[in-house]
Order: sequence, then C-alpha cells, then structure tokens
Amino acid sequence: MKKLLLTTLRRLVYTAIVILIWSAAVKYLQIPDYILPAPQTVASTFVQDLPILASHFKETFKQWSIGLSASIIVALLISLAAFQSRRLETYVDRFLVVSQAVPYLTIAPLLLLWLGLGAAPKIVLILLTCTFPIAQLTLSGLHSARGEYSVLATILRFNPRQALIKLYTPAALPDFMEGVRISVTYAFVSAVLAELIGSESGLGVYLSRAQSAYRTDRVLTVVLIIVFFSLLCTWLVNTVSRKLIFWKPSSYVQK
Amino acid sequence: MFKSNFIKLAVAFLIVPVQAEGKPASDKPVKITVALDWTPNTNHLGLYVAKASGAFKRAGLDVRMVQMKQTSTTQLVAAGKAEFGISFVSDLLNARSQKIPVTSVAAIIQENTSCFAWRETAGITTIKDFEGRKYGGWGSPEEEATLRYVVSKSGGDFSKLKMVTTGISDFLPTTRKNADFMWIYMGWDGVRARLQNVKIKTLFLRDIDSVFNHPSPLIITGSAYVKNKPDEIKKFLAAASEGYRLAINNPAEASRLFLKEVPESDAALVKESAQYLAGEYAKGAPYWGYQNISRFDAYRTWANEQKILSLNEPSAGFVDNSFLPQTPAAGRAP
Repeated sequence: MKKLLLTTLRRLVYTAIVILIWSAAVKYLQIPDYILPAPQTVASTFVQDLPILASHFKETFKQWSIGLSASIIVALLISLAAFQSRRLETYVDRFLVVSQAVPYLTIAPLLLLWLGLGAAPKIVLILLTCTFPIAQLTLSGLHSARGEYSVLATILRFNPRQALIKLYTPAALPDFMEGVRISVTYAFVSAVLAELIGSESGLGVYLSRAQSAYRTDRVLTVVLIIVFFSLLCTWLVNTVSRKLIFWKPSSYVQK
Repeated sequence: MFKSNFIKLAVAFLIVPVQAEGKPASDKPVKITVALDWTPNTNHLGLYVAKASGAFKRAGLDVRMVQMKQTSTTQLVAAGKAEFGISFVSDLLNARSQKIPVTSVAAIIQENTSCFAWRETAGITTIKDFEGRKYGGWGSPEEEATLRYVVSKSGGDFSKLKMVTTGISDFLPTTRKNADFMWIYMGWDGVRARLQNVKIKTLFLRDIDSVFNHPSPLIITGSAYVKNKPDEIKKFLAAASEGYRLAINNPAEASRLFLKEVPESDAALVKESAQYLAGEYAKGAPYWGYQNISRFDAYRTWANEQKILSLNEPSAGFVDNSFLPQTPAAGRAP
C-alpha cells in the first residue's frame, strides 16, 4: 500500500515537471500557439469544448465498442476453428499475416468507396486491425496448452471436446486476454483514423476540423483523450484479467 | 341496415385513396449524403444554412454532410455512396476523361477566387519573381502546368522555380520556412492571414489569364442519379439555392447558422470569410448556381493543350443547369 502511494506520487511529480518545462518553454521561447500551445491553453480548450467533445467521443466510442466486440468474436471463432484443423490453420495463418501487411492508411479510402459513408467501413477497419493480435495469441495459447496438458487429458480419458473445453481453453485464457489488451488501444486509434478520412462526426472529425483551423490546442486535446482512454481501457482489461485468471500468480498478468 | 352499410362504404371510399396517396409523399424524408471536398468551410456555407434553417427538411430531404480527407469525392459520388459531392473543374474534367460518370449541377462560386499568395516579407512583386523561389503545393500536374504556363508567359524561366510538395498544408505555417509562395483561396486562407495580422500579397488566377476564371467549387452528382431521380436533385438544389441566397443577402445570419452546425470552426474566420464571399457567390450571374459552360470549355481546351488532360467531350455533356431554380440572387443587403 505504501509502495503504491509512493509510485503514484512519483508519477505525479514527473508529470508536473514535464508540464512545467512545456509551459516555460512556450512562454520564454515565444512559440506561437499554432506550433505548440501552452498546457494551460490545452486544459482550458478541453473544458470549453467539453460538450462538443463529449458528443464526438460518443460516436467514436460506439464504433470502437462494436468493432472491438466483433473483432473478439471473429478472433475466437477463427482461433478455435484453426485449432481443430491443421489445414485450416495454414490458410488462417496466411490470411492473418496478409491482414497485417496491408497499409491501412491506403486502404481506408477504398473501404469508404466500397462500403459507403456509414459505420460499416469503420467497423471493418477495426476488425482488420484487431482480429489478428487476438486470434494469433489465442491460437498460440491453445497450442502450448495442448503441449502441456495433452498427457493429462489422456490420463483423465477426456475426449477431444472435453479436453478443449475443460483444459485447453482455460489455459489459453491469459494469452487471449493479452490479445484483447493490445486490441483495445488499436481499435480506438483505428476508429479515429477512419473518421479522419471521411465521416460526419466523431473524434477524427473534430481532429481534422481542428487541423484545418490551425487549432493545435484542439489537436493536442484529442491526443490526450486518446491516451487517457487507452490507459483506462488497458487498466480495465488488466483488472478483469487478474480476477478472471485467479489460478495464475498475479505477476503473470502484465501490469 | 342498408344505411349503415352505405355509410361504411362511403367511409371506406374516403379513406382508401387518402391512405394510398398520402404515404409515399411526406412521411419519410429522403436521406441524402453530401460528400464535402474538405473540412466544412464557407464554400459550403449555403448548404449548412439550408440544413440549419430547415430548408432541406421542408423539401422532404434529410441531408447529412460528410467531410472527406484523402478520399476522392468524385469516385464516391459516381459509385452512388453519396448523392452529391463538392468538386472542382479540373477534378471534374479528369474524372470525365477517365469515364467516371459524374455531372456538375451547380457552381457554388461564379469565379475562381484562388490566388498565388506570399508573405509581404518574401519580396515578390511580379510573376517573374517566382523564378528561384520555392512553391509549396500538393504536387498535382495542374499546378505544374499552370505555373509553367504563367511563368513562361511573363517571360520568366520556369525551370528555375522549385516545386516543393508540402501536401495539403496550411498557408501560414508552411510559408514560415518550407515555401515562399502557395496557391490559396482568398476567401479562406487569405482572410485568415488578414485576421492574424500577417501581411500577404496575392495574385489572382482570374487576373493572370481569363482561361483560369472558371466557377469553383462545383456541386456534382452521379449521372445515374441524374437519370433516375431528377426531382430529388431539383428539390436539393432549390433548398441549397435558398441557403446560398441567404448567404449572399445576410452573411452575418448565414455564418451564425453555419456555426450552429459546425461549432468547432474558427468563428471569426467564418464571419469574415462569409462577408467576403457574399459578393462572390453569384457575382455577375443571372441566378445562384448558374454555370457558364463556355468557361468550362475554355479551361478544357487549355488543359488539353498543356497535355494534362485528354478530353474531347464538350462540357455541355456533363454540365447541367436545368435543375437550378432561376430565382435571381438579388443584391446584397445594405
């Protein structure tokens, strides 16, 4: 408890120092607002724009939650299916590698062209970026679980299905959660990126409007929102992981 | 018995036609998507006014404006993903030369209000001074051809000019270090520089050569849409025209409505820009939106000569004034 307090305190001091240096640099080097605004300007912009930001955030959050849920479901289906069939696994593996090799900045405008200007292209973009880490990690988790527990399954006379449900799946849970942990942030950034390219509302829309109005303070506000939201999500996933994977020492689940 | 049946029958006759005819007309507004060319700005003023003032709604349209970056508005419109799009003459001509089925149905601003601009401190006075300077642009063939034409015509040496691709970046930051002069819209970047007290000099394209004086930007639509839903286009443009006429006659009120729709905008810039453009939207035209087809053809011929375009189709084939209401735009309010 005391240790936690100390770490928190240390983090706060570091943050304060960074903000002070930033503030002083802007003031004494006379950096114009459109290059780098002072931290207090960013803070007051945040407060001032709160209602607008909230409505944009809601839109991005919607795409994020739908896209992420879809990614988790698809990733689970893919990894379970690939685990059952070796031939399927080679195909899935190739598909997943390709899905990571595609440059999304280039493909996103095409997605708009193919899928229209609604929510569909955004959700597909999230799906394409987030399915891979979850599926890949879950699959490798299942494989190592089989390596570890297949003898046990034979001793217990489990049929393959029982072994999958009772042994391999729980054993692969930490890897699955690790995939989710990576994806929560990916998904949010993808959603903003998709909105940046063509949309009616959302943080990406606010961001591009800020850019074309020379409002660097607003751009930084969005960056801070993305960072804080990502930290919050990661923390949330970590907490859930620790509760869910009670049988492993907590040091296993990354902090 | 007979009487009550008669009444039932009469009532039925009264109700049936009402139900049959009443439904399709008013109940559900038609959903319309407009793909903008960029983030919302005063080029789109009348559209946002029509949205905020309810003009679109009264026409039975539910219009949403989608801002675009990097995506080709023209392709989206041709593919029917958006009913309307904001485009430009050169973009339209290029699209037609690639057989992309789009048609221009209205000119938002009658003349080309774009200009070459530089900071007063850059020490440029004539086009000939562009020699040896750095031009910051987005790297399109039109820019190169235009500069080559303009500089050569003034007796300068185009090869001494440095073309820097700064992407789609803003004028003020870019001209600090990265470029000496850029190609900007007076009604937006020009007004912004004035508001930030940065002294700039400009050279309007329309003053350099009349061939560049085409309307810009344009409202385009897909050719399939023209064929299938001409009434919807008419309704949309009637409401848009109402919006732009308000922008012409009462720019202060128009910017207020715009800011209601796009609260993230720079309010001072929108108001100033609206004041400037009020006199430009329908300048010299019989009504807002009118497209002078000979200006399209003049630019098409020029672009063909410069070998940046290969399009023999006359502009009358893809520029259509027939959907516009011919309501005179009236003079500006005193």
